[in-house]
Amino acid sequence: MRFLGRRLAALVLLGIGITFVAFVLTELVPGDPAAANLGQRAIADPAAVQAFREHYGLDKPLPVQYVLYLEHLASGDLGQSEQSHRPVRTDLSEFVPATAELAVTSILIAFVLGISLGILSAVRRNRLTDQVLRVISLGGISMPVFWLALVALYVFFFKLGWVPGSGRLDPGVLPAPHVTGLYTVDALLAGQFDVFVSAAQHLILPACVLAAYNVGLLTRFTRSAVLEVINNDYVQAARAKGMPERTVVLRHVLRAALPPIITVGGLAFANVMTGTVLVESIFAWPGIGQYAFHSATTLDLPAIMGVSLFVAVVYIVVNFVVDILYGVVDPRIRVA
Amino acid sequence: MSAQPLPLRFAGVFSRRPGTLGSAWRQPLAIAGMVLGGAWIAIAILVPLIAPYNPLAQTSQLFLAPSASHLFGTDELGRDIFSRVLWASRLSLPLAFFLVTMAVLIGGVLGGLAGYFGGWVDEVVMRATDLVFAFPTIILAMAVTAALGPSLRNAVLAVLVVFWPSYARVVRGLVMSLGQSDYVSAARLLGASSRRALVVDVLPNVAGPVLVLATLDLGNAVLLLAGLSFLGLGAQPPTPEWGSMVNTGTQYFERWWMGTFPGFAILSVVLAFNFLGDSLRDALDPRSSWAVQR
Amino acid sequence: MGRAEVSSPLLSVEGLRVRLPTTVGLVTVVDGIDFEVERGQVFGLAGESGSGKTISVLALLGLLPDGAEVEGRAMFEGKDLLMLGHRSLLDIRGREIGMVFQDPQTSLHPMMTIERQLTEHVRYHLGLNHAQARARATEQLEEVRIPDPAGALGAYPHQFSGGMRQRIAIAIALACRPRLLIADEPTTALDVTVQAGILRLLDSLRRQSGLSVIMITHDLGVMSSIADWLTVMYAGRVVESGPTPEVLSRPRHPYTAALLAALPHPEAVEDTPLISISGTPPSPQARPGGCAFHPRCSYAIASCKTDVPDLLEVGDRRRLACPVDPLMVPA
Repeated sequence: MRFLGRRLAALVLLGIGITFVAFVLTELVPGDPAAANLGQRAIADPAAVQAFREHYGLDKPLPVQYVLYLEHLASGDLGQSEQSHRPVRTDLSEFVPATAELAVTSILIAFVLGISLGILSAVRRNRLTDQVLRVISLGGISMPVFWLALVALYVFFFKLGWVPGSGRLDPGVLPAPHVTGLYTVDALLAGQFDVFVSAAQHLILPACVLAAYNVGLLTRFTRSAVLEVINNDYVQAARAKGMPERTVVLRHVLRAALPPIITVGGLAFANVMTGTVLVESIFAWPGIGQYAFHSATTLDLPAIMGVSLFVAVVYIVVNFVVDILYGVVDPRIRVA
Repeated sequence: MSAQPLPLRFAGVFSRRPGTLGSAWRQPLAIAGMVLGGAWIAIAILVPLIAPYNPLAQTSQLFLAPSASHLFGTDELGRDIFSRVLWASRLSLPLAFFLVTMAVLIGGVLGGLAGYFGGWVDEVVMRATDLVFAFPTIILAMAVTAALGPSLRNAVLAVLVVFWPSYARVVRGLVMSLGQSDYVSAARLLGASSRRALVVDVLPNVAGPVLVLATLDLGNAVLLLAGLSFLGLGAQPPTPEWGSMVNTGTQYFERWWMGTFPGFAILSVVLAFNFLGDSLRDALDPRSSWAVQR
Repeated sequence: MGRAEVSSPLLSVEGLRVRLPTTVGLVTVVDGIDFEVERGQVFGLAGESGSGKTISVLALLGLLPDGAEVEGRAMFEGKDLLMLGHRSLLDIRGREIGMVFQDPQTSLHPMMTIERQLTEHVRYHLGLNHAQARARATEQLEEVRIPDPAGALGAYPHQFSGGMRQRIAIAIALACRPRLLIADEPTTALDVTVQAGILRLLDSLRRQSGLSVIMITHDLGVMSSIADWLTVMYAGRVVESGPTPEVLSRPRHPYTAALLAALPHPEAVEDTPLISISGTPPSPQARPGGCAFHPRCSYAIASCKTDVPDLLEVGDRRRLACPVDPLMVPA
């Protein structure tokens, strides 16, 4: 319990810290935020400009502005997008489910594939399988993900026609009634199998592209974690008990190798987030990645800051969960 | 006779490798990395002599597919893509080296100070690294670049902000563990001054892991810069940069040559650095499970 | 006097030779050893690190690394252990031969409950169901004197002290009631006070069930308290063997004598200098020709440099590999 408490406290402190970073960054931007935000209205409507100034305390000293900023954040106000002229929060809530679906699928693929290949690589150490896998995984982490998306789309959609090109569903297909916002899950829940198939077909290529880096990363990490453990005394002891090698590897070795692999979970999430920003627009996937990309290219500051803050908060929570999982897997940590 | 791996306690006695650094350089991975990296460095230096066309020269020959006269084809302004890809190396490679060097210096110094003095110095540095690590890399880099204004210079600054904490952490950890190590204490007992102990005993042990990290980060630097340029936040047109060229490629999807070749350049450079980094790690850590065994 | 042979030996090893792969090629670690372990006997295998004692027993269980080469015979219950296929070896390990490792800090899986570690091989070998295995595990923990066995089942190794962990390791090794227990330096990593408890436990367990024990240790004190039979190894070969009290009181090999002389005597006069054997044991790659001990032996003669001494019967159940036999006490 004390373990949890300390972690939570660290989490909150970190959360406050990143708001400070975001605030400082916003302050760095030259120019008048009111003008940038309100655009044409700024010239025509002085009352609106004044309201804007008051709302954000622009004529007050910086520390006060920061407190105001925190207050707004606490009530969920992330500012207003200069492009859509809607609250950033609204934009985000519209786009989050799509990215969530993509991210979760991608991470699942990465872990299943990465861990399996890593174990294979470790058990066949220095043989041909291992050498090939080492090169492949090295390739995976060396590839620019936006390039991979482009090439994959060109090959599998444009040339081979195996997967649909863009969006989350075929044109004309309506999503199932909204429960989670994840089209595949909602379709299954509603029993609409054809919607599910359409959604899955659209999902598979982006998810695999996003998973590539993580598969490479996890294969390497798992291989090294397994090799660290595979000759430990307790593994030898398991063999000396007469347990078959397969059981020894999958039960004893994997369990001992799991903690470091789990810590990669946080990193994997960050990589997926990075990937979505770069890749969603290529797949016309309406998620927060595309939102961030669009905001970056149009320099929509509030949107950029809003997305950054949101992603950072989610990332902190994910890392927190990873920490907890670590304690679940390794009982020695729970006492520390 | 079933064969099971040797218990770890015996591994040191029976499989100690003589001359680790020497044998590692002969590994195919290291050789491939050196050849590839060397090739790109040569290209970056010799570009004015090798590139067939002026990378900024716009012609009326738009969207030409790859051919003998234009190896990688031409882009939407009629510029030769092959020349642009080659010239872009003059941007990415030096910048990557610069970035990593600066990150190592800044991070290393801060981390070293934090590890050596402890106390509030350590706290401040650690909280700063926490803050940076709280953001996924490109998110923070994106935010910083956008806030400062999109330009190559600001992108470089942003990457620096994102890279220094890793080195700070590594150096801090090493300095702390070495500072308490037996042989540094012994050295001090023998009368060596603190500074001498730092340089002679601590530095060589710190150099290894830092070097491995730095080599791998060269690749990451190239990827991140390319990513930022892809987002329009780094190199600005008409400067040829691999990332922004891939971006253009996505806008002209059917002209596959526009995005494929620049991206491939990125891949090959990063691959080279990663090969080198891996081989370096193999060579420097004999106990590591990556260690090469016959 | 001849020994009254009631039954044949439980384990009979002949000409065991083990070569291990290293970066400089195959190296002979165990150089042709013979020994027998009787039923119900505590068989002591003594020697310093690098003498090959652990490798010998690992060879018996087939736990050597890839590329190891093994020669010789090891007859156990009518089967040659060194010729067994993988499946048959799995049946032997844990079920007919159990093993306890040196360091209880590292020989128990840190992330599995005690119950799991105690029952998984029992269920695998004997086909017990969950409840049966659990009950048996509780009994086992009682046997090795772990307090609160039921509670211990759900705990993890790091929650126990070193001595407790070693008891648990012993319980695990004996869970399927094997006929032979191999204990590799079981007390070396423990405090002296805890050592005695472990040794007493091992002794009572074997008296109860007729278990044979191969006790590997470099500690002659431990040998004297628990081993019936003592075999001394040096540089991959057996140099001397016989009943423990005999060998320890009347050693005949110069190495054994030197080991004994090097033990600090608790009742020695103050300022008695500590004796040590000059030189160090050779590493397997660098063993001298002839008798491996000759560079450090005060009784070496010319032929010791060139002739490898055979292990010969030298009277009352004693074996000796030293043609010089400088310490023989006339009967």
